[in-house]
Amino acid sequence: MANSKKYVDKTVMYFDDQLEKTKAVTDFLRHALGLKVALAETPDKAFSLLTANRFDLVILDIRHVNAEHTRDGKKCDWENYGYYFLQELREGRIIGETPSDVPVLFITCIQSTPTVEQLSRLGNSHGGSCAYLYKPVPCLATVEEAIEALLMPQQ
Amino acid sequence: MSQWPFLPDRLTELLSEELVQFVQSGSAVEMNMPVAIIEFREGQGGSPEPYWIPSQDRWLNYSDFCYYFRNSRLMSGQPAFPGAEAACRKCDADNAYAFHMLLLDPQSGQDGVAYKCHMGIRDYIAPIYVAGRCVAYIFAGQRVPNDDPECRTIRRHIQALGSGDMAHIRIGTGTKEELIQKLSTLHVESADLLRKVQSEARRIGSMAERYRELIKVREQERFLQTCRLNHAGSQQDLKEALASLLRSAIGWCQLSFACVFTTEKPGDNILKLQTHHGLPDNILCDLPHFNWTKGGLPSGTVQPSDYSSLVSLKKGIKGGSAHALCAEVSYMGPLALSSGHRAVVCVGGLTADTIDENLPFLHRIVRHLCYPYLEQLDKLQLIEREEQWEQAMALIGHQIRGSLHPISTEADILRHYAILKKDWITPERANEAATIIREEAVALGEHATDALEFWRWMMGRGERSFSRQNLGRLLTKSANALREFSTRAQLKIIVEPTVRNLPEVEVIGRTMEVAIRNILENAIKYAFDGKYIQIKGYTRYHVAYVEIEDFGIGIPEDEREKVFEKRYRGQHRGRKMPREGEGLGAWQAREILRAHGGDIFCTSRSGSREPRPGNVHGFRTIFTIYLPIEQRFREDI
Repeated sequence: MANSKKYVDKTVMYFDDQLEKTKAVTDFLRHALGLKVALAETPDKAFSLLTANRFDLVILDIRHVNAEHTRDGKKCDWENYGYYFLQELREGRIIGETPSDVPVLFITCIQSTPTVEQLSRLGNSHGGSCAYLYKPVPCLATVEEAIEALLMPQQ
Repeated sequence: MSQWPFLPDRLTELLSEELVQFVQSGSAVEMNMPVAIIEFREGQGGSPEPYWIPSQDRWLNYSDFCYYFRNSRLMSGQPAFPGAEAACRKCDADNAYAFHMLLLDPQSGQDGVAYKCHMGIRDYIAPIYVAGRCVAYIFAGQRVPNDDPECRTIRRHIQALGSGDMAHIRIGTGTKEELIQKLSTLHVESADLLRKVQSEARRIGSMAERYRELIKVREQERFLQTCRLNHAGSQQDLKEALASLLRSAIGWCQLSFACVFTTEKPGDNILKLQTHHGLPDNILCDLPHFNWTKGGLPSGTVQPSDYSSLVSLKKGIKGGSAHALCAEVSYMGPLALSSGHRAVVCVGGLTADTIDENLPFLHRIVRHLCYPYLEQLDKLQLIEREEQWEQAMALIGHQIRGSLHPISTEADILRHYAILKKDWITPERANEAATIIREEAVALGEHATDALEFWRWMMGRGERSFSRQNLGRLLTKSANALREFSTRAQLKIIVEPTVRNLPEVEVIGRTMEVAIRNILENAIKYAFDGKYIQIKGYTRYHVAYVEIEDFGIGIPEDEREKVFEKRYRGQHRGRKMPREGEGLGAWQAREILRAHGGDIFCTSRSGSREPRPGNVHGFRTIFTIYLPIEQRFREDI
């Protein structure tokens, strides 16, 4: 495991409704990997961060409590909010009018195979890439491996 | 006659006219008398008019009724006396009508009379009854066998009178009056003859009754074929299907109303009103229910025919409008399956006679409606329970994984610090990691234990027996468990002294603790910073009341029932809690309280008088719990 601050020029947005439970991962991203991490706990915060900044990576969960509407204002199921968020991101309804190919890493409790397949298809569309980690993540090195695969796919 | 309750108005509704002609001839042979069967039909003006069943010569051994004065065959196609036919018809009609009017009086007790026609000849009339209703009359009299020598003599005399040849008359002066006198001697007034006619009327009546039974059975089977409960995909669909069948049954059986009470869970003692038609508003406004044991019904399987004492069953009808409903009900049919599900069907608008005669059919309707309903209900509930169990396990798994994630990652932080000696982790950060691990582990233990216990109990797999616990101490314990957190949020939890006076209550395991904590956590979640949570308690009769009040964002009126729905989350997120739930807290609390015979409701109003410092615009929300102190005071177990 390297974790030698090799991503000092990279930025990541971490969107999770329970950020207090992601402290270890967030600290690891910042201090061990050197990533600049912006945190969003609500959809509105996530939208404003994405609109104002360009991120090299987005980390998010699938379930978002109290997230019941998409950016367009359509009602959606909070248990699958991550899917709708990713859909809007890829189809260009969040960052201007441009589809975004930003790599996405899901760290989530949901293990259902249809959900994973659906998300993978969506995440890999429009030239983007997507990875999936199940909670509880066994160790922080797993996170690093997933990020490396997304940010440096050639190596 | 094709409709319930299959009460005929005329004999020809049951037997074809041709068959009645045959019967008429047979009666004439049987009684050795001329016979006519007359039934009343609705005339043009709406009043009843007599109708003679025509006779069939090929079957008749004896001449038409009233032989002498209108039999056209006597005089080679001409009547014996001009106008006799019309006069005799009028006489018959008058007598038939008079007797018909007499029979309309239920007190008359008439079942046949002997009378003299307009010519003074002795005749007999008897009503034919089917199902207690007069459907026709049998007229008989003037027994004159064709081969009676005396008849032949009289016949010659009539012919002579008709031809005007008086020389052949050998009965004195040969006047018509003498002939009549002679004829009258042919029939000795005899009570036996009247009894014979009455007996014949009864015989015809019982034959027609058998036909009536056949028609009834056929129509009832046809109706039951149409009265089938289709497969339903959900409990709501099942309820609607039952409602539709009940509507159909009400129409077919011409009932004034019908309602069905059923259990919601197997073994329930209280049956709720599932569907109804025709119940008056004054009864509906205070929804009645049925208490199985109060209705004198046992546990175990029950058929409608087993317990048909209306007086006893009516004692099971409860609710504010029970008296009114009992007064209207004329039949009740209970049913209980081996699964523990029960149903009671109540109908109104039947007379005592109709019920007595159709009791077996009514029982069949109850079974036809309720058997498939209860069986499907049981299956749907089983499927729902299994789905709920799957969902519950998924939820619990999700919560566990969610808590294990920080435990796992913070443990890795400690590993980086202690073993890998990574310099980006400070001792303070390591200490923080240890604290987080400890807190998450404790929360995980509590949350998972509570959730598992609740769901096991919901699925019927957990503790079911009641034990006495002090309600005041339960409240205080829950308040203390949340005090540290509430203090951090600058919230004060005030437990009023009245709580100490709350009695011991009978509760199942730790379920009441779970319920109380859920309500307290909700109160804390939505209370404004710097405000308070107040807990009060009191007892009234045999019920304990607890009020949990907070001052905060409030609950809009249209959401006050919704807060108790599964997965409901308010429009505002509220304070972040140590354990983020799945939106089930209020729902769980209500399920638990209802299982104990209690319930919970909430009120929320603008806090115009703020008893604590601060003038922040907000709402006082009060969750009120009520709970029977002793389970023996409950009606539903």
